[in-house]
Order: sequence, then structure tokens, then C-alpha cells
Amino acid sequence: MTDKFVVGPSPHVLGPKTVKSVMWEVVIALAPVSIAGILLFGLDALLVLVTATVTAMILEALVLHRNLKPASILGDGSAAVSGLILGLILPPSTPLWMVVIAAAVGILLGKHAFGGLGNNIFNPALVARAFVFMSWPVAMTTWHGPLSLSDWTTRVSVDVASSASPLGGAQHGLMEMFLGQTAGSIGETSALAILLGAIFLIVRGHIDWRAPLGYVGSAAVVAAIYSFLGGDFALTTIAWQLMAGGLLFAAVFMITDMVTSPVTKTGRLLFGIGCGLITMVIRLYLSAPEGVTYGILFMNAMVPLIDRYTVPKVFGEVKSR
Amino acid sequence: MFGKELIRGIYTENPVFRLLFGLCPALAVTTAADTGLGMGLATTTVLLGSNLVVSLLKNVIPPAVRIPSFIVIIATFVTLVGMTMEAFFYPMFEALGIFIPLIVVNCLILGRAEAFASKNTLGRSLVDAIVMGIGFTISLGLLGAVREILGSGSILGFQLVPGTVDMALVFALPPGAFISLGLMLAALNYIAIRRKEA
Amino acid sequence: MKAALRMIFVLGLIAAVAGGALAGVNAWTAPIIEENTATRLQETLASVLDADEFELQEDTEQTLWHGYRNGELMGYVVRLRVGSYSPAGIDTLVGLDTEGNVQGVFIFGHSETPGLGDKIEEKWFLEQFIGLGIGDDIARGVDVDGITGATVSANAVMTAVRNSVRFVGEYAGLIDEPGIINLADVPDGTYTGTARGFIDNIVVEVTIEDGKLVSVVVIEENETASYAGPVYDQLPQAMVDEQKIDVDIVSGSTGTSQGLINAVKDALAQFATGDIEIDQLAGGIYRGEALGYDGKIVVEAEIVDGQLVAVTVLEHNDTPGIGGVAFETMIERLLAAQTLDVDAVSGATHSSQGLLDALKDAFRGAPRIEISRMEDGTYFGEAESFGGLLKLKAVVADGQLVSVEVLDHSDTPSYANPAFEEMIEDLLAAQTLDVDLVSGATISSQGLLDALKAALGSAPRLDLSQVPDGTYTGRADSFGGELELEVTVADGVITDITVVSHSDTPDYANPAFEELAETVVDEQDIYVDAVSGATISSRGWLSALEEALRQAVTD
Repeated sequence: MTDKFVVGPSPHVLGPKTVKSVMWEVVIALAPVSIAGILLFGLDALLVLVTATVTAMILEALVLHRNLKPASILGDGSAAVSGLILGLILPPSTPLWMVVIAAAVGILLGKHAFGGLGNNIFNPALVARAFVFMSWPVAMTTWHGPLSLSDWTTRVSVDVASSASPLGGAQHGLMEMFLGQTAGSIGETSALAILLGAIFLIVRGHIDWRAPLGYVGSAAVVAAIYSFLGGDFALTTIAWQLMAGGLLFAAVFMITDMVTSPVTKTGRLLFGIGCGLITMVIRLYLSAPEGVTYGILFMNAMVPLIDRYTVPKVFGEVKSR
Repeated sequence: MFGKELIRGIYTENPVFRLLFGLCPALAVTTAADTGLGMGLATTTVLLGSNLVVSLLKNVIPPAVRIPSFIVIIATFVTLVGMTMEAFFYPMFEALGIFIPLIVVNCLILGRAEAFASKNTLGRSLVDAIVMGIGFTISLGLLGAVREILGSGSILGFQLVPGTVDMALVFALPPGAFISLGLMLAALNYIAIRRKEA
Repeated sequence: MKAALRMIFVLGLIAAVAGGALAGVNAWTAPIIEENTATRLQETLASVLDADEFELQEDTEQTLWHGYRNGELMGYVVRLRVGSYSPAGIDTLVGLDTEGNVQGVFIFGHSETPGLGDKIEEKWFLEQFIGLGIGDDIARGVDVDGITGATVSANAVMTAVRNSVRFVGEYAGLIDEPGIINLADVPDGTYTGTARGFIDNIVVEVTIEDGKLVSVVVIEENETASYAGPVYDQLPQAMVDEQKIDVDIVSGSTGTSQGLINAVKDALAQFATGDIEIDQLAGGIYRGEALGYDGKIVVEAEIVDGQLVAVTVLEHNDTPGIGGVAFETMIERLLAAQTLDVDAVSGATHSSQGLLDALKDAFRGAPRIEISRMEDGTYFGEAESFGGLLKLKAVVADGQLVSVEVLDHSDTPSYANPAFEEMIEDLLAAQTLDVDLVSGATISSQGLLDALKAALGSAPRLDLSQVPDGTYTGRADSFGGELELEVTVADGVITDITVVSHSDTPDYANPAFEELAETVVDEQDIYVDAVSGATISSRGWLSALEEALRQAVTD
């Protein structure tokens, strides 16, 4: 790269923001959910997160640099982010060999088969989850409940009974769901931790509010209409739909992915709305337990189209007749 | 001579992996090696029949109505094959389902009729049908085998890994067809590029 | 021109040859295909029922085959499609022997999620239904296991098997709808009954004396002791204490509890009074439960004057959108039809059937009377007591029982009167009918309670004693149109009733009106039976009379 001229449109400003700095700050934003996940689900969760992240980083180093030097493994941090996000959207009881396969599918098929960072159409972590979800549906829908404080004080890894996730029919109070004390994927249960990460990312200017708002908003509207038609309309039903499954996590960490979401501001809003609508339709009407994955993957494919139709008007341009 | 033609059908002009013909059945019925092979053989039979008749009638059919004529000929053979399979190979007929009548719209067959049989002698047309059919059958069988091994750990119904091992079910499902075909195309293209460079 | 003709000719020729070839091959393969299809169907049917000849029955509600071996009826095969996770549902084939026991289950077709829902095809899952039959719950956790990760699909198959068993049971006349068992109607004696518990059959001996259940003894069982023990300790005692069979089950031991209850019902089944007729039910609130699409449905139904006036679903687990709407529609149908024989809501058959089953369960039990929910007004009731009929009047105001007055009785006054006083005092203080009987006068006290139950189970009625003297006019719709009458009250007594105008057929109506007026003046009761042959006119007349007197009270 360095021996070539880089030609790009103006303005040519060299800022402190680089791919590397952004990626490592996203890792910081993911810290609260990771910690919450480990606290809630124990050693199993830690192992899944570490395995996913390390596998992704090693594979990225092998693909890009064909060696395993520390600098290659650390890279630009994008593999670490994808790997960590992937770990966070898997059930804590996922067998580690499945996690390795998932990370490999995400990095190799989801990312580098399309040409690497910046060229991948689909979110690598979601490609990986879709793949393992379809391959081992039983393992991917076996959840276990969160640990209680006493589990922690007695021993770290405990045999936990499997239990239903909220979308699988378990009954939970809204407060439990807000704190994340429900069965679910490692990083997806605690709304509180997700919001902490979201605040950090927004304050640091790494994510645009439009896509998350469009996503959560459209999901809320669909939930409202559905519950109204079902004759049991209540604000708690809507809050429940928003906090169940991976919707909030996706809103903050997945549909804001810079590579696989639209560039334009209007486009991001539309993208978010589309993701929300498809997610809810899948959740409510299709025979799949969760719609977040396919909802976002489907809209990922629409991104070039959205970008094309939402190009902002050039300053001073007049509408041609 | 035939050997060279055979290589053309299986590798250099492989209908699925090189010409990207007949992808609909290639993706839809290759959940296992046997259905892939069955589909390949059924298609080969139709191809043989249509190439034979089209080549025989190439001077009789007026160019303006050649496509309708070809379609009628192909549809006839497809229906014949369908009825015969239902009567004598029912399990395969059931496994292939709607994709047997859909052989009519397999562009491999119309493609060979239009591009080859209508311009070549009877003998050459038959050889073309046979080598293309073999190429198609091998491709579908290969794709089916890859998906069967990865998806259920067996080949032609013979269990390779213990049934207790969870294989990647995705390969037995439609998305697995796209992933497998894509990876196989990539591998073949990689080999072809390396050869050209060498 | 020539070219066009040639085109037509060539294309026509190709089509003709193609048609000929197709016809030929079709003639050759068609019989083979037909035979193969028939053989395959026979083989599939034989996989669920041990028989070699199957005969499709016509005009049955569900697709049904009779299975024969050597000309002897071996059983039935039912094909059902049940709703499930996927919109297309699951197509099942259930084979049953002539006793209605499941012989085999086959999944004909489904489009459940691969890897999850398609586990319903697994052998262990389908084989666990074999042997279950009429009288079994066929429910997850009771007598069959579900599938982890495929709860909905597995439940759908259970529903299919349950419904197949029920269908065959009804079709082959194997199920006698267990009617209401009224303990008072059972002659004295000891009866034996059998029903399937969680593991095996439970056999009980039930003893009845003087129309009362005095003992329930389990004489044969094979249940797990740790689960069944509490059931045997608690349920028979509860049945004797509460004098009813449908007592609360012991949680954690549903299978055994239900088995014991069913065994007692089986013992007394011969005395059941048949179908539930709503107009024969005592007034009050009935509560019952049954299995719905997914879990228990608990309902409450209110009966007033032999009319079903309200049905409330207290608890259910069925799909909110589908179940909820289905319940509403079903309740509307029930209230309109006043019978339990109504059609299920399409698309929500299981929820609908569950609701009906819960209502049947409710009506088999005794009603509860909640004074706080009673409408204000004066209630009249009568019941058999020690010496004969006891009549009373009860007044409810603001959800409180404010007075109970015995109007007429034939019991020994020296015993009965103090007992009545004490009972009434207790009743007014407790504001519930659940009060202790007065010792030494239990039968009179019970008579009073029964009469009060009857009173509060009916609609409030006009209290003639509150009508001031005077002449009042009332109108109501009758057979031919509006009917107007005048009623005269003097010294708290109805002295005269005259029809002012009516448009009914005079030949029928006039004699009826005269007869009614005579009866009402004689009995000083405005709630008398209609005159047969002029029912509608009678009702019009009675409504007009009530309307006239009601005005008098409110004015």
C-alpha cells in the first residue's frame, strides 16, 4: 500500500481516528456486556468469549500475514471485535469446538471471502451465528439460567439446569430482564450493560443514533400493533419484546457496524427500520425462535441499494427537470 | 477421441462448475449423493433423447419454430422419464419431487439442443449428450456427496462417522447448497487460475 | 405462405408424435403407478395398525380407515392435521385397536424446523404413545415426554394423538360421556372402579351410605410410593369431607391424582345422569379446568335461573392472539346457544375444545355462591327440609346479604325455629353460605341452606309485599304484538288482573290469560308456569304483569 499513491476526494485531513483506535474503543464498549455475561453465566461464558476472540484473531493473522507474530495477531483490532461480538451472541453453554467453527466461518466466509475488512457485505459475527444456528439448532437453543450470588460464592463453575429463554416462553419480570437475569446468549440478556456500552460509543462519536433508533422504534411499533390486534395491548408487552432476545445488543453493536451499514444518514435510519420490521415479523409469525440474525443479514444485502437511493444532495445542486 | 470429449464434459466444459448450467436442480436436490446422482441420470436420459431427436430433425424444423419444437421434444422426454421413474423407481421419484418436471426448464438441455445438436451430426450430438450428462451427473453427485458428508456424516446412506456426532446440519439445508457450491466453484477457479499462470 | 404451412405442419407433427408417445407410455405405466400407490398406502397404514386390509370410510368427520385381518375388524386408522409451529401443521396417522388404544403413530408430513421440530419423527417419541388410549391424558409430563427444543411441535403431535383417540372413541361408541354424578342419587352400596394412574391402573372401592360418600379405599395400585403416598392420604379424605369427587389434585402427582379421581368416577359412572343440561343446573358460580392447547385452562361459569349468564377464563397458557380471540368467540356462542354443544372456533380447535372441557368439568362439580357478586334484589327459593318444603326470601343489597326470612316450612317448630334463627344470624354475620349446621337440627338447617342456595342461584324477584295498594298498568311484547294489562293490589294482595288490549289470537290467548290471572291471584305468586299451548302469549302476559308491579315498587 505504501508504495502506491493514495487518491481520494477532498478534504484530506489527517485525524487521530484510525481503524485501529476505533476498533479498540469498540472493544472497551463491549466490556460491560462481557463482564455482565461472565458474572451472569460464569466460567462457561468466559471460555466461549476467549475462544471466539482468539480464534478470530489467529485466523485473521493467518489470512492477512501468513504468520502468527504478535503484531499480526493484534492487527487492526477488527477481528477481535468480530470475535468478541460473536462470542457474546452465542449461548454460554456452546461447546468450544462449535465456537471455533463459528469464528472460522465468520472470519473466513463472512469476511475474507468477500475481500476482507471494508468489503464484506454481511456482518461476520452474524454470518457465523446463522451458520452454527442452522447447523446445530439444539445446542444453539439450549439456554441455561443465570447464576445467583450463592453459586458464585460456593464454586465458580456449576452444573446449571437448562431453562427457557424469554422468547422461548419463560416468564420474567421486566426488572430481571433489564438486569439480564434471564436465560439467553452471553451478552444479550443485560439491557443495562448494553446501554452502558451504547452511551460510551455515542459519547465517543463512533455510532450514529439513527440506525439503533430506527431499529428499536420500528420493532416497538410492530410489537404495539401485534399486541393491540391480539387484544392484550400493554406497554410492558412492548418493553418485553424489546428486551427479549438479542434485539438491544444488535441495535447497539451490530446494525451500527461501519462496514455493513449504509453510509448516508437517511440510509441508516431506513436500514434500522428495515432490520426492525424483519426481525419482528420473523419473531412473531415465522417458525424461528429469533429474528435478529436474519433480519440484519437480509438488510445487510440491501445496503448498496439503500446507499444508492439516499445519496445526499450536493451543496448548491438544483433538482433537474 | 471420446476420451478427449469426456474430459471436455467432466472438466473443461463441466456444465455445473464451468458453464454454470442447471444450477436450480444442482442446488435443490443435492441434499445427498444419491439424489444428486439420480437427478444427474434422469437429466442425462432426457438430454440423450432430446439431442438425438433434435439432431435428426435439424434439417426438417424451420428455424422460426425451432425453440417451440425443442421445448415440445424436451417436455415429452421429461414426462416419459417422470412416468417411468414413478412406476419403477418410486423412492427416487419421491425424493426428487417437483424437480423432475422442472428438468424441462433446465437450461443445460435446451442449451445443448440449441447450441450443439441442431448444428451437428447425430453421432457427435449423442457423444455430446453422453459426456455432458456424465459431467452433470458427476457434478451433482459430487455436490451431493460433499453436502451429505458434512451435513449428516454419511455417503450414499453409509454412515462414515458415528451417529452421535453432530454434523453441520446447515449443509443438508438450502443455505448449505449455496455455501458448498460457492466453495467448490472457488476451488475450481483457483486451480484453473494457477494452471494458467503456470 | 408455404413457409408458414410448413411450420404448422412440422410443429403439429412433432406434437402429434410426442402425444402418441406419451399416451403409449402412460398406458403402460399408469396401472403400475396406481398399484404402487395403493400398496404404499396399505404399507403405511399397516405400519400403525396390525392389519392386512384397510377400508376407507365415507362421510366421517376425519379421514378414517377400518383395518381388517382375515375379515375381522382389528381397529381404526385416523388421519389428522393439527396446527403447529409451521403454518402448514403436522399431518399424522394414528392406528388404534378396537378398544381405542394407540397401536402406532406415523408422521405423514410436516414442515417443522429442520433439526428441531423434525425430531417428532424420532422413534422413541412416537413409540411412547403405543398403549395409551381412552382415559389417558396423553399430555406432556403426564404420560408422554416432550422433546427439548421442540415443545410446540411435540405438543401438536400429542394433541393429534389425543384427538384421534377421542374421535375413534366417539366414532366407535367407546366413550360414554361421563355425566354428572349426583351422590344423592347413588343407592347405598360399595362400588369398584378402575382408571389408569401415572404408571398403571388404580382400583378403588367406593362406599355410599344415605346418599353420602363415606369411604374411598385404594385396593390395587402400582404407583411410585413417594409420589402417590400423599395422594392416597389426602384425596379420599377430601372426597369424603367435601362430598364431591372432583377434589383438588395433589400438585406434583397429577397423574396419580387424576387416576384416583377417574377411578372413583368409573365406580359410580353407572349412576351418572348423562349429558349436562344447562337449564337443569343449580344457580351459582362453577369453576373447572381442562387441558387446552398448551397447559391448563381454568374457567368460571355463572348460572342464574338455569341460564348460562357469564363465562370467564381465569387462567390459560394458549397463544395470546389466537387463544384469547377463540375464547371470546366461544363464550359468545355458548351464551347464545345455552348448551355446551357448540362448534369450535376454526383455527383454534384445541383452545375451543379445552374451554368446553373445562366447562364440563366445572358443571360436574358443585356451584359456589358469592354473595358479594350478587345483584341487588329480593330472592325467593325453596328446598326439601325435614317435614317438607321450606320456602324463604333473601334480600341482597350492595353485595351484602341483609336479610333472610323463612316464609313457610313444615318442620317441627320447637326444633326448627331456633335453628333457623341461629343459622340466619350466622349467615348474615359470615356473608357466605359456608356456615356450620346447627347441631340437633341438622336437617332443618341443611334445608334452610339448600333453599337459600336455590334462592341465590335464581334471578332476583319482585317482592309482592313491597307493592303499595293501587292499580298499575304494564306493557310487554307478546305473540301478536303489544299486550297491555292492569293489575290491582289491595292490602298487599293481588286482587285482579285485566288485559286491556292485545293482538294475540283470541282463541288461544284469552283462555290462557284467564287461567294465568286465576293462578296468580290464588297463589299470590307472579312467577308461575306458562299455559301449555299458549306459551308465548303466557310469557308476554307474565312480563307485562311483572313490569306493572316493578313500576309500582320503584315509583
